[in-house]
Amino acid sequence: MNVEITIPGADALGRVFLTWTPVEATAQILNPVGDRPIRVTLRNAGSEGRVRFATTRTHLGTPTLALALPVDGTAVRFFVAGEFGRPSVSVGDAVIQARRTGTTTVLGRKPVTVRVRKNAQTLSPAERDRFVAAFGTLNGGGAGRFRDFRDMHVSAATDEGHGDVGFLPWHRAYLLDLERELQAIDPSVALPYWRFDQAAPNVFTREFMGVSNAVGTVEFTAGHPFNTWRTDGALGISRSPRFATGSAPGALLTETQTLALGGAAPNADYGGFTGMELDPHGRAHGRFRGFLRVISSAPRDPLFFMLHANVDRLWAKWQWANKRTDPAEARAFAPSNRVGHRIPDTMWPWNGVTAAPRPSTAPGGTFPPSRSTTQPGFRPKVGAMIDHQAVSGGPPLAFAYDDVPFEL
Amino acid sequence: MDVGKYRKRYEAKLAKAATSAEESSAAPLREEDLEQQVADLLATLQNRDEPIAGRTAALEALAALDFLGPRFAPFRARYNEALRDVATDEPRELRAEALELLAIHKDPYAQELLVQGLQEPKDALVPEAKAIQLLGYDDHAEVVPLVREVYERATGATREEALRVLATDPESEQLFTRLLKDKSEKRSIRQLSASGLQSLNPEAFDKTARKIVADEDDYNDIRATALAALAHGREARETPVDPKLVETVQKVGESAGSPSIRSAARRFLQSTEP
Repeated sequence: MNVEITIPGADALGRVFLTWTPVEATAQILNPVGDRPIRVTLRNAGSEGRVRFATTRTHLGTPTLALALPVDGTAVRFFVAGEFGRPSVSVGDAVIQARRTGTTTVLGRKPVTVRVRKNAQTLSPAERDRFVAAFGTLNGGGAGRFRDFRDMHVSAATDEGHGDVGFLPWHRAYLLDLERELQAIDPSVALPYWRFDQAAPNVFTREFMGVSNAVGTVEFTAGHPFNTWRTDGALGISRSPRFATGSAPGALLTETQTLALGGAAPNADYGGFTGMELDPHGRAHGRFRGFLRVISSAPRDPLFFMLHANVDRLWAKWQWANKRTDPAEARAFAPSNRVGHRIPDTMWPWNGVTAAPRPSTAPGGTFPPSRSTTQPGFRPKVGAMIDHQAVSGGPPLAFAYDDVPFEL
Repeated sequence: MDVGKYRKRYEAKLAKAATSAEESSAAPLREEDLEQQVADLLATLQNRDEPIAGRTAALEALAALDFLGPRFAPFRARYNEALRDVATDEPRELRAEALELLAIHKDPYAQELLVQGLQEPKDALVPEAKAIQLLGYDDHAEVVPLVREVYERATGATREEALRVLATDPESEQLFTRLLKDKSEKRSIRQLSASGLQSLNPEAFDKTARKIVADEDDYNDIRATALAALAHGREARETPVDPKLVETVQKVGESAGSPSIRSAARRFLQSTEP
């Protein structure tokens, strides 16, 4: 007799990736013995990552869950989510175990991975190496799929994602697209964020994002995947920090200052919060010389994506702190007259539209699908980017930040 | 972690920050009243009587405002004009900052100044290595012949920056092959040459890199670089896995004393997994 635990969204190798958002799962008895329901307890048996269980969709899950499984094999549903604060560090290190209640008999187990975006400063060396290896492969010495990402963030496309309320949703989609491509190379990878209001000495090392030489070219350790980094035909990354990399960059708004931009709860408003496009976002770019300091060249530096993951995290945190995740809530977003910046608008380039006022090319094709979710679809709309953890219901975007919980 | 408790703690932190006088160390930037702000910042930037720190801060603030994209567009012509003005200014650092911003935007005036500096080094506004780097921002700047000339006489960082630009030049393939094979050459130059050759002729690179990977007498960092480039290049081009190469890399990974080679071998082997 054994218990089979099924969680939807497994990849081709049967691996399941969770975030903080509960997903509906089932447990069922196979090869039953007897004719009475079998009482089992679901529990954590992993090493690093942990999960929580519930019988309803809630953030109040528990570390164990008792279920009575019919012997006729009927599947019993439950909800499972990553335990906030206990993400995985490697694939399958969170294990759901089904024990016969009141015994130590294990009837089933299911390894899962609690995959969330983490502070780059806190990554383990193995997490860091997997991330840079996947990113290096995506770039492929200039011949990889990264070219599309470079082509999405150029002068001709500036209006699509800058200077208006769609700045945050567009970049959220852009990062998620990139993250899914990285995960297609290595599914254990989640995009880390660089907290630019804190010191991050582990980030600016030769093993990770590199160290700038006197000319302002970034140097890496031998064998580092970014040694062959190439964009626009040119080799290497141009970047010089204006700050001591052992310290915080300074000269930009801190997290708490940023979260105050939209006004205090309960009146916090997205329109005010979008001031963050200038400070800390623009300020963070300006803390460097080199590619990062101009819109059209910034994505040539892989640090760009970690900088923007932090910008996106700040939005996610503001949304959580002020309960502004429902696109139908007036203060969760703000009106605009510009195409591509309104909730029902599709977003370029994933919509493939190349007629004015959109740019004349749409690199990269439609939005990449994910086995973990059906969202945001092939041609995402601005509104699809707002409730990334699906607090209001429906499928999530299947990414989360280590310090932004799912909370109803 | 209890999400409810986490929320309470975070709300207390926000409340505390709201009542404390936490201030940014930079002059505040506002999204409203952009016209006046930009005018003030441009005036500071171009004021030769201002201290350098103040002018540099103004330039940094303008660069941040530039991230507003279309909202900054009405000021771009004035901004570029000011940058061109500052590009020949006396303070070296400010000059380099302005030239870089112009070069990223592929500004012909800045490119001309940089080219002149390479042709007449005594008149150069920035060091040679920097000039080559900035010219390299524009892959259509047609500076390859000049950079090749500079490469011939260059040493140190200038030589490395020149090679980065020459990696766009098909005629430099032989140069990169020679440098990559030359064990007496500086290792940073050989590493750069590996990347350069790989981008100009991936097949030729693969051939040379395989020999380097298997050569126990070669430097560990060069072998690791060749191995990493083989892995990422193969995946990007989706070339089939070569069992002979896999076998070689397995052996190298098992016997290598160098952590960088072991790590590069592991990455390579991972890249061959289905």
